[in-house]
Amino acid sequence: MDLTPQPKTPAAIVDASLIIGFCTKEPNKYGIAKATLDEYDNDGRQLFAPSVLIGEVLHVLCRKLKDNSLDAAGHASALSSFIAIMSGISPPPTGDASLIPLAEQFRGALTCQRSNDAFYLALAEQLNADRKTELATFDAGMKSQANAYASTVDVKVLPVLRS
Amino acid sequence: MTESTPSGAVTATAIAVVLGAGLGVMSMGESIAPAAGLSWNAGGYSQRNVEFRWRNRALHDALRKVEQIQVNMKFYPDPTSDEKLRDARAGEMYGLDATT
Repeated sequence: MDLTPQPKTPAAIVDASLIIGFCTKEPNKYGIAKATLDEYDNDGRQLFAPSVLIGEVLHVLCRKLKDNSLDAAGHASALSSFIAIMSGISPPPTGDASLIPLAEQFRGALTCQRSNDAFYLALAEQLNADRKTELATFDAGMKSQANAYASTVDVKVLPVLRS
Repeated sequence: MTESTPSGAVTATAIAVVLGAGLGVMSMGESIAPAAGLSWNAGGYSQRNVEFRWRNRALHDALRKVEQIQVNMKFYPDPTSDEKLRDARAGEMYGLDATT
């Protein structure tokens, strides 16, 4: 029997901007978001996200409903889609609390508004220690933050289609 | 016709049948174990390989579920979507922003 340690499954972290674009079918993001998730599926990547994603997505779904960006049927479908896709996304392997020191380090000297982003970067850094990991987002600011404070994290900024 | 078959060929056929059955069981184990969330650690299949396949299935199944949910869902353009996410990240969801 081959006892050689095998490399862990490659990982990808998805942020709220990707999940929102996918679940609410935003025309300028949906195609790219779906193609990215399908690619991860075909590549056999394991998907992860910190818990802050859940609060962020629910907040935005609520706001979309309130300002009629989503009607009631759209909100219900988006919520069902969110629940379904989360069954394929794992939480941080060692828990969110284990990310706090690294997240605070990655927030660095930036505004408090980047605190949530820092959790995504911290999770990417943690997973990157023993498996190939990339972080997918529509938020270019996350790439800038990674360049400044977490240069080993591979951030894939997805293009937003212009209407 | 058995009497006209060389004994070596009979033996080879028997070995092939046994091997084939064995591979069939391994193949079945490979496909069933992940579905059941079980480990399979025999015949050269490591537990990690099975976990790999099972994890794939979780994402794959989730994406298929979303496809079913969204089959009649229309597109919802929202030019302020990024702004809403920025608000969420700014702490508005914790009630820290008195303007909303």
